[in-house]
Amino acid sequence: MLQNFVKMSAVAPFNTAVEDRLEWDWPKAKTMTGMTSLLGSFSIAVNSRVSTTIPDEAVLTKTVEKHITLTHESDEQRWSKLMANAQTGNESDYRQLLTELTDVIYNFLCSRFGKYHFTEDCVQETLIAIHQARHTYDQHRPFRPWLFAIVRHKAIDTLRKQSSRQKVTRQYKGEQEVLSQGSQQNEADNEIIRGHLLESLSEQHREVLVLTKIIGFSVVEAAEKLGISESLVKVRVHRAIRKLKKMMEADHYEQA
Amino acid sequence: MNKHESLISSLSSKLEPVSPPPNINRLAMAWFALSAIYVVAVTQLFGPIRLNAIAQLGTEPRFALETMLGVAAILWFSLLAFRSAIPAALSRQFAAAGLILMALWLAQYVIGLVSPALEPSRLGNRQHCYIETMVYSLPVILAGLFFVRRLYPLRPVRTAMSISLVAGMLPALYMQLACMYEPTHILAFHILPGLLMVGVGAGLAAWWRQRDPEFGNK
Repeated sequence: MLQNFVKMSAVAPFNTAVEDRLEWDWPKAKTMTGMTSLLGSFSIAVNSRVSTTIPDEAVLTKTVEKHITLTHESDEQRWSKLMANAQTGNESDYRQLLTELTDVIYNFLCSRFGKYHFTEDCVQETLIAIHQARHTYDQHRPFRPWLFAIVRHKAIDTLRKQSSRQKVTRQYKGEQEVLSQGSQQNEADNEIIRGHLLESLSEQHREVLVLTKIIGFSVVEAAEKLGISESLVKVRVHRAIRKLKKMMEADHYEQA
Repeated sequence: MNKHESLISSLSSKLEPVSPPPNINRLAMAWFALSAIYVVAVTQLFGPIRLNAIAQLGTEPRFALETMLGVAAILWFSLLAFRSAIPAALSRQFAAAGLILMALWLAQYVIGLVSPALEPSRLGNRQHCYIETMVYSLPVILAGLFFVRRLYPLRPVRTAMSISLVAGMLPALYMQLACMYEPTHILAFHILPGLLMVGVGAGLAAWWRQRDPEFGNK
């Protein structure tokens, strides 16, 4: 993953998808390998593009942060323009915008909730919501707050509406097998799979939310698995969603 | 990502042009102004206002302040209600300021229980002021919901509640001039019915959404 990130940075430094991967991977990468090893890997990109000198840690961090800020600004302007064109009925610009946003939304949700079937559903719901709300975007206002207000709302909304889905449960069992095989994977990778918002929930809230809303077990099944009453499952789910909602509202990703 | 491609192409094919959003502040102000004119006109139509009420606005500074605070709180809430119908248009600070203004205005009447802004009197008493407050606010609520129905409120019921609060408080405020001045009467027969309209508005929005799930999402 880290190597991919480095390769892509070298090849297409101003590509949106890469930048959003960069936003997502950067803090994780720092905790995963430490700045020094990241620095070593990053030097491949630096060497291939600019010079053989490896900058120190602080300079590198500043450069990457500046790079992210610049990309945010250019994304902001491009998306705003694409949406303005979409409002006039320009199909190709709209397709381009939605394609770019799909990656952004997917990475945003993965970093917060983890890679689950739910994330895919949520991306689709959000794209539909963006389509329905496209007439409310005012090009004199910044695009990111408008976008992420919809994304945050849809994420919680989708989570709340998730019901028991056997299909997903079966799929999850398959995923669990893959995950158990990958026990050799390091801890950091698992952290990335889970997503930091779910991680910040208490153990009780997280397990009940993952079982009922993300994996798709019914309340009865979840209660049996956890050895608690059905009403307690419902209460915990309700509280967990409320907590997630608060955390999402406090999440100022779009201003980063 | 391939599974999203079909969705993207279906969303972007035969894309119809949409008109850009209206200036939300202007729309809110227009709704507020029209509603205020309507409330004044309909209240006048069903009975005269208190004899010396307008003169008291000039001679009693606390009464004038109370009224102006009411106008400011209601106007601010109008902006807040309409902004909440567009994603990310309403900031937390703006919403907090609206709530503070509204609380400050209502607190004037609670303070008035101990120290009223005007000498309490039954002069200008209207027989059915509480019913008038509720009935006059209904068209204002419907007009507000009509205006926001084509926007995209992320929390439609909450937006409807804000609209209803404004709609309920407009006649409640005007009753300050049209009906008798006595803080207990104002709280029980003007403010309370106005506040009750918040529930009515929320119910209307929920009913409208049930009939038309796309309400607020067009």
